[in-house]
Amino acid sequence: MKLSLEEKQILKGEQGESKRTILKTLIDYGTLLGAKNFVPITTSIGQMHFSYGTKAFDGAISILKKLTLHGIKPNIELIANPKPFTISYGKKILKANLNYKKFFNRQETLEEELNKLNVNSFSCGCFEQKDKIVYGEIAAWSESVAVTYLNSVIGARTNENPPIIDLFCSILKKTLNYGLLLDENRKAGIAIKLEVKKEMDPQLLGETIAKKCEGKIPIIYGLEKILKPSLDEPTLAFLKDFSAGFSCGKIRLFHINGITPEVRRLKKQIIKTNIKTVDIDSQELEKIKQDYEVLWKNPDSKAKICIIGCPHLSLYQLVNLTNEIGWELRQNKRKKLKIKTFFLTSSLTLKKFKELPEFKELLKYGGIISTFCPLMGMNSKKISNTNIITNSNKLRCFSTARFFEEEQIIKQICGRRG
Amino acid sequence: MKVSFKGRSVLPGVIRGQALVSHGLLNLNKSFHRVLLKKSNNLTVEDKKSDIYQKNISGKVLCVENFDSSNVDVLFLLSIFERACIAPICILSSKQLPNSILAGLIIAKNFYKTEIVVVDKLGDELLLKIETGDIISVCDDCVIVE
Repeated sequence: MKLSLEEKQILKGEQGESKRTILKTLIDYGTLLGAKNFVPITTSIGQMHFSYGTKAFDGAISILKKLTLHGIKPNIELIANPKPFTISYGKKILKANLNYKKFFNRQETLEEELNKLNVNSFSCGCFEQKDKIVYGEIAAWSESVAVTYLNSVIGARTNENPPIIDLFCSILKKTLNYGLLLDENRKAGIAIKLEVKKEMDPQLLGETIAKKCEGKIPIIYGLEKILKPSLDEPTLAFLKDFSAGFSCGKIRLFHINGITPEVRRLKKQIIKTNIKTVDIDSQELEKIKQDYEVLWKNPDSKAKICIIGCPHLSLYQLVNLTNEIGWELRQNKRKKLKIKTFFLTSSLTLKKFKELPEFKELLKYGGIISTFCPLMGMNSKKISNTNIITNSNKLRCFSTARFFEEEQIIKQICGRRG
Repeated sequence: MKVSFKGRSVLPGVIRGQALVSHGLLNLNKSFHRVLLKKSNNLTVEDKKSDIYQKNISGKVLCVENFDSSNVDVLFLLSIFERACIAPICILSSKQLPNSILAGLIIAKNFYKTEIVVVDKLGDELLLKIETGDIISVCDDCVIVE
């Protein structure tokens, strides 16, 4: 890799042994990936894909301790992934004592280290940062939904960096110049023509497109009929969940004709020549959904828990869901939700939501509003044996939770018969 | 008769050891999460779906098609290599290793000074020619089945 004068000095140890080892690690990693050089990170927000403190991750925690002991920390604010659920939520979910100390036995230690490393918040809610990150900026993010959203919806550039590598990049404020940072790798290589008949589930649609992409970046036609180029709140909420649909595959950038910023600016320059077109209709979506395996021990048994908000819900979604649930409950002459339901959002959004009347409404219905990450701890036997339903395709993909589209989820939790 | 393979040297070095062959994709989370909680001196595969279920990979030349990758692989690998005694001495993969695995191995090498040798992109023939128990010699990008 070609190094700048400053990088050569770091490699000689002129900024200390820790930074030398960090840079050496990034050079070794970048060499294998074909990176030619480093480029500066220009975003003021970095990500850290490590927020789950378990003994099984002691090796990584030791590295954080080594760094903080030497006073090493990033020059930018870091947002870590959401935390795992707390003891009280564990009890609520499982209706039993989860041995929290066994699963998250390093949570306090990890959070102490993260605090020293400039981690100020825990969220996968990249959509909240839209005022702080602008088109064309360079980042070193890591969480799959955030990476896809940043590349596609904001038009900034990042690769999907593994945990710890994301931190190392933020410490040096440099990232490896390869992959999605390069113009030639951002061009669409396949056209997806959608037959948009009615409102489509964004996560299901995202996954379906990701599966049809053949590993190429898609340019999607048809969604411009239901989304707004002004990227208003409903559009952003759709695109956040649509990005989550891609997290089951490997694609971390999509273009939507007339909507996403790179297409609107670069027009045909963002599309490779002579690309294949794939048509997707609602039958295709249905087929993908039918293929989802039900991983419950008894598929005919009833749901015990519902989780809504993976990725975390935006303020618009929380308000909208509350209103829809209220309407459905009234239709069914019920006052409370039939199934214990978690509504997950970031602490920043929760703070804003608490100021709105819908917050009290949702609590009145029996909704549990929290900020944890439902993906963490899902491999514990007790949780994986619990019948969980979700409208999150991402959660379904990485757990035993059963997927239903939002409309069906609302009917189920509100106790509609049939 | 000796059989040799050439791949991409991920972590170079010279090593000789006994092969443990897995034909499927190895999932680190399902295989080692619970073992790492126990702080056992063996690294026994706990994924019931794996063809090396209940086999100990410590000190072995681990031959895999690839890993069923996830970003948290980095975190598992760092715990494995922090305790050198439980780690395999070599990893050979017929396919290109995922970035999360590469990252974990490289961080471990630089921070824990691990001496593991890793070669990937060895081709599909690798797992057809190597069997568990075979003695394998590795020198940088070159693998010899003795």
